[in-house]
Amino acid sequence: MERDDSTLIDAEEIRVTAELAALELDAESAAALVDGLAVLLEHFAAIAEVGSPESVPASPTDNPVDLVSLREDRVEDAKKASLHAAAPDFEEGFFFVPRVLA
Amino acid sequence: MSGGPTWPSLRRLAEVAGADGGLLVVQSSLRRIREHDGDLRSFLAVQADESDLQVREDGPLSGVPLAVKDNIAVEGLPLTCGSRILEGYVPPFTATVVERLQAAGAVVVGKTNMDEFAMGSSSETSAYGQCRNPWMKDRVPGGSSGGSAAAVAAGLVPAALGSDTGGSVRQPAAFCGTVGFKPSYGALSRFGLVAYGSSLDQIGMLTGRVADAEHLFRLMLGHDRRDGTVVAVDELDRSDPVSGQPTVGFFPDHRDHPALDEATRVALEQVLDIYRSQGHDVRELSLPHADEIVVPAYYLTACAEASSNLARFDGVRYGPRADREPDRVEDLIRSTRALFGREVQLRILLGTYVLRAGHYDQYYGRAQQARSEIAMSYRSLFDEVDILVTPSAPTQAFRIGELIDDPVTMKLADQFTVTANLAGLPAISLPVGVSGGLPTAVQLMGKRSSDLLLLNEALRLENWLEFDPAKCPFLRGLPSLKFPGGDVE
Repeated sequence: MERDDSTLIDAEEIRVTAELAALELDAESAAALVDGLAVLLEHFAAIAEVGSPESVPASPTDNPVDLVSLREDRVEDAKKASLHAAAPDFEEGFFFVPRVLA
Repeated sequence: MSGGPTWPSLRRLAEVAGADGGLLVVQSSLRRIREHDGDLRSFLAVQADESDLQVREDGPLSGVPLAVKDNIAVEGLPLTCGSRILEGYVPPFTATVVERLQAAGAVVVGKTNMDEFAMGSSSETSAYGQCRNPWMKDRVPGGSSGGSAAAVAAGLVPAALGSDTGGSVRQPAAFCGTVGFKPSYGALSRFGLVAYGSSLDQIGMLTGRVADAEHLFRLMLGHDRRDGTVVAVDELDRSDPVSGQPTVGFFPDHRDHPALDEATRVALEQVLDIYRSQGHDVRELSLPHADEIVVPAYYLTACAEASSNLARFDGVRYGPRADREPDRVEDLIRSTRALFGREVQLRILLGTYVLRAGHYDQYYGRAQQARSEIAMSYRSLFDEVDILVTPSAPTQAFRIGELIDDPVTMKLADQFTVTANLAGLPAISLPVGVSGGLPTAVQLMGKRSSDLLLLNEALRLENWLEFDPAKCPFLRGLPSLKFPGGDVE
């Protein structure tokens, strides 16, 4: 297949994408990932052979199932002991967690 | 050469184990794991305290030891998804399907090794060591449910749960010579399964025989108010019974596929010959376009969904945090997410990239159109045939390290399994024979919600085949199984 220019990806594209994905990449990882991503996108370009949106009669997403039931939205009794064990501390109805904001 | 000791059927096991309070069988399994898992590395965590275990005496799974893939929650046992980013996390709840099996008497003996966040086909991306194939230790067990497949093939447990987003139950089953069943999308609750590609994920099981997979499946079925995607059981039961001999279809393009190794081609031909000799109408099918687009459609969809699902691992809510005293929350999130391995980072990046403005229509949008085409094509195809026979994977188990640096070839090898996930179909991998010291396998697929029919057909095929799991060399090193009341072979 002829390589389509739109599948080319460079380090700057990776940097922006990594920022959106909240990933911090060192130089070695970034270089490896540029290569990996470029190879995959080039291969996956075959997907462009699928017709334009107008030419495909199906809905874009073929939802494998219809939702059959949604639970009522209400608070339930939680298994408090195991939930508390999963948090650093629990006091007076509040979870104490390490500081994440300066 | 005589075979090693294998487990009796789950039904038989429950009868003998339940009679003695059940712990003897569980202890046999735990002893096998502790003494023999060593360099097999199929388990990441093993039930430490046997004294707390209680076994229901008269349940359909009384005293049956069960292994659970490490991306499925079991209260009190660690859950890592094979990733450093969840090291030390212990979920405060149990997955619905596990709860149901426990209620039937099953005892979870441990959590099994896997590719990190189920992203891989060889168990090589696990952050906790390489799981090996019990048939040949220099081979991969497949993936991502490699630990579950290896544990069953090695006789450490009689059954294990896995998850299948693009073949992660069926391909390791094929590599390790076990049965691997992926039910229809929505057939089983996924509450408690760590999400990878939510529109594709399904919990499945790895067992020594088809009857055991069916036994577990029936016990796991049913509505779950905690998972709105579950299809009511009666919908599954309404599948049209096939009158007379089911019509069997296959793709000559698969048989002649250049990536297929000779042993896999022979296994496929053998199964088709069996169907012909049993009087089935075996039809040649063709969907030439589908073969080219299934893998791209799958990876673009799965990675896009993964990039969203894995955003929750940020160091704030689960597992360890890399930076205890961050200046900014962004620093905490980025430094913690550096704990993801290279393959997971690659798939998150791919998913984020294809969802970006400017790329969405070109990749993700087209992938969804392709998915619709594939689903429609297979719906039509199952108007013509009842059962589809394909390879489970193009090759037998490959060598550890052989493909890990090739980002495309290992993904292309998913081409026979991903269709069932894209279209929500039930599919099962069955061992066919042994060639060159490794198992061979085929996959059977059925139409949507025909799970029980498919299992029934798999049972018939299994009876015609002569695969003997006892030939796995690993089993020869194991002590025989002792049960209350003596031998139960």
